[in-house]
Amino acid sequence: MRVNRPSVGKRRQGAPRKIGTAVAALLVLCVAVSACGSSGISGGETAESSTAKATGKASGSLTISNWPYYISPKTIPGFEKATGIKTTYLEDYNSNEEFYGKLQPLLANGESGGRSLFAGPSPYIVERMIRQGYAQKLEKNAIKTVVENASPDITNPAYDPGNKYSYPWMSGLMGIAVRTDLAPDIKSACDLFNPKYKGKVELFTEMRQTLGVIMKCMGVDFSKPITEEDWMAAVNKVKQAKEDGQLRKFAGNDWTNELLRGDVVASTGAAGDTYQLEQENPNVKWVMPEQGCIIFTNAMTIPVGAPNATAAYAFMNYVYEPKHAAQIVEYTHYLSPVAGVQQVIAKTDPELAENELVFPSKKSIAKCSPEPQLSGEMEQKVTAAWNAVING
Amino acid sequence: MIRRRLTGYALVLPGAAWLVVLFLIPMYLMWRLSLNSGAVESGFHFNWEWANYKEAFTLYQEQFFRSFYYAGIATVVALVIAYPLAYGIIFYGGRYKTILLLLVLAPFLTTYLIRTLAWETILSDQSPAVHLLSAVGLAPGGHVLGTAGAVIAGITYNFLPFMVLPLFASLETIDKRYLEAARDLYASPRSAFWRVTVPLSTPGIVAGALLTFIPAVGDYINANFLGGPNNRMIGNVVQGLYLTERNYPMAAALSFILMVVITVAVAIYIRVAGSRALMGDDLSELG
Amino acid sequence: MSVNGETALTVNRMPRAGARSPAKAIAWLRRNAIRIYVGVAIAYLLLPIAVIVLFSFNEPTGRYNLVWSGFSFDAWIHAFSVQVLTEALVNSVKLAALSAVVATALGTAMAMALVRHRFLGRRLANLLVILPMTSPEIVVGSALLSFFLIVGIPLGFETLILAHIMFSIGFSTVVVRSRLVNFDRSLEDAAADLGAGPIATFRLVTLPLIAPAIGGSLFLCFVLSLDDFVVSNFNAGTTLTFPLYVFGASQRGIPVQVNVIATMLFAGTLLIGLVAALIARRRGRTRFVAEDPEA
Repeated sequence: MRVNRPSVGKRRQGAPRKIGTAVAALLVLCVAVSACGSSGISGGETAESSTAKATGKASGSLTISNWPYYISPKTIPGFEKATGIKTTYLEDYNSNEEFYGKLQPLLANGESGGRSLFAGPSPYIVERMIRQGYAQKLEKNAIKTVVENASPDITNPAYDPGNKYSYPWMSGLMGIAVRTDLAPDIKSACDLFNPKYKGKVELFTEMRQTLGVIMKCMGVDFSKPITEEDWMAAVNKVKQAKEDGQLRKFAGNDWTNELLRGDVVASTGAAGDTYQLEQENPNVKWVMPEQGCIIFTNAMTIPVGAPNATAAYAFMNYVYEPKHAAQIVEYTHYLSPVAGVQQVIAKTDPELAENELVFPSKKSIAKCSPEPQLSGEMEQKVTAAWNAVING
Repeated sequence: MIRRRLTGYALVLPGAAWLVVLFLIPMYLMWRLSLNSGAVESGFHFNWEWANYKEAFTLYQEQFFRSFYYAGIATVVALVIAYPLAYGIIFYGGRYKTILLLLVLAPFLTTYLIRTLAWETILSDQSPAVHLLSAVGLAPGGHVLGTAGAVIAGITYNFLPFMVLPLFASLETIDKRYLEAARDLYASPRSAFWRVTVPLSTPGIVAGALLTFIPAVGDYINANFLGGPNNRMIGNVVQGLYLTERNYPMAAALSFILMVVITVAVAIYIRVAGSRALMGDDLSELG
Repeated sequence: MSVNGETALTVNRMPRAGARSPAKAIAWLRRNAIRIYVGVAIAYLLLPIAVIVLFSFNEPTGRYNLVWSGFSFDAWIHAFSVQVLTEALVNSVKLAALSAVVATALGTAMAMALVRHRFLGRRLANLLVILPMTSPEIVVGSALLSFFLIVGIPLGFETLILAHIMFSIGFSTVVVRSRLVNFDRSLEDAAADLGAGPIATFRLVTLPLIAPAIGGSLFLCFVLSLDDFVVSNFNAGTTLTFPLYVFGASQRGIPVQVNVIATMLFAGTLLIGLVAALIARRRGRTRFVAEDPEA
């Protein structure tokens, strides 16, 4: 193709000079354009966060982002009926990084993509949002129901001391989801690496949860600070499994498809999700790993630029009413941060109120640990290694 | 004459401006971005960071070569499938020719993603198709999804119209009298086919191969739905780096390398294939 | 292989009841091999479509439309009941219509200029038209994202329109140009001789003659935009189009309505294609509208 080699082929009089002029003109234009701004491309400096102002009675419309199937189908209609707020509930979380990646350029410009509330971020994202000034401070006066009903176990978390910016949406147990008809002998996360199930295993893309479960089975002591070596050993275990063809896929929410079809016999998975899958196929069961599970949390936070924060506050109050929280628990089987939910459910569904996976006793989750956190250089290093495995 | 020339400018300007602002300048900015250093949280700045290219290539050369490999095989397979198809329709289609071509192209009027998802269903481990393939030994390990074969098959299917259309166009323009002449000269049907039909349809083959190969190299939908973690292509990596990891400089570097390599490969290919009439006056015009 | 343009593809020479000898069967197979091949190949091409249509009548027990579990018209009756999906579809159709019209206008003008006018930088303009078409979508999409991020244009419906018009212009130019190249200039000269001004000549002579190409360009650009995932995925921000919705939904369970809408789009575009082919045939041209070797 002569396109790239103007000097080869038939030479036409004057053509190179003309092209040269044109290219030069173009370059000038390009430089002019690139000089006029370099906004949006980076998060910029740590910013002072604003407070989400509540104004009068909640009304208008509200848009919320969350993970799929993390709410009762009755919640939104109920909320709309009670408040008259037109609500768009988007299930557009597929992974923390992906969602944050999509929204970050907007947040950097002080916009939230029309959303008034994020209900899906993991603690480390909440921390990051606070640091970047992307999360707004909550007006405690506007969320009296939340403050009143929040279970003492979950308040004042390390990622947001004093709950200045966030309150938990729900928590869950991350363990293993197994097709008991196809792989009855999987009892621990390390069994996922059994060559017997080559090409039939999936791992969740959330680094902290997946590596957490794997580090547990590798015998890492979660009561002490986790070292870089521990993290890297787990990353390398996953890397090796990938290279050996042990893994079918690194999955976000789509892990369910393969499990239901039987393309995959076991995957890291959350207890609530797995309970819901069990309704589709009774052979899918959640297994508490022998060495314990990881307890994860997703938090509600109001992003910078959120329209109608008042409506977001109204929604937070609504879902922190024990009877509404109970509704969500009944459908999703996740762990509620609201005190008094168990008592509400005990009246209507005593069996569910006794379910150790929904209302775990101290004993049943004795071996479980909260989602392990990383920071600083170690976070960068482990994240880079993990990304190279799942994105490479 | 001057007026005609001015009319020419007036006609070309709006479209050209659109392409300059939204294609050339973005390309230039992407190249600049690829030489930035920094991280998304602390901010990026331009300082001729050529190391990005080295790092991007060292980290992702595997996906890079894999993309070219998959796209190359898919292009050849597509040619093998499409040539007899186009040939059959042109020479044996009779009055059903248009209908048959429409049937061939029709599947590509459904959304690309949904087509690929349908293949995911067809090729899932418990499906009859996979049982059949296993029985004849074409599915080692008992599954097709999550293998290179599945990705290549998906690419072949999804880019087939890019192969069929140019072949169809060039076969259709073959003057049937050449073939009659070959027969009159006692050429066997076989040698008439190889010595007359195929050479006359070379422009179609060359164009079809290009139009299939280029999008195939950059594709990541098939690898995403049909492949496993060891079948990821360069498109998956660029997408992940841009949209999830937000390592813009590295992503831009990879994207830019891809662009340059494809342009060079295409240039060499056109030279070697040496087809004068390849794409109408487009390329010969560029002298 | 005999060249016989008159023979229809239908396998018409079934072996007679008496001719059962294997030699004759083989001979029959040889004669019809290419016809059988065309049939099998078309079946292969249509297989995923059949699956899509079939699953639009599925009655899934839960939220995943993955396995066949019963026949139902439910999703067809409530085709537009999934609110987010319908909004995404409306976005897609708006986007496709708008970008097809603008890209065809720009592309037609460029084609006119490139075929009819000699001017400085003509070859450069030619290159400019081809380059976006010969770049992988991932490169186009990521370059545009870099541009929007650096210049600071917020991603959304507007950036999608800009992007879709951009990648459609080239296709439009090529389609219209292929018609203009085979165009009898004497008709225009005649009009000019009869005293028609350039605008009147364009409206009364040129436009009707290139109308099929403009129609083809509109159709092609519409389909390209409607089907685009890669460039949109990079530049949509939080706006949803139909393919983007499908991608998101594929991760959490696709509602049956997606299959219904895909079937509708398929049938709709096929119908347009058929009508266009019929019109083309009536005009004595059997070539399919989008059938341009450069497209």
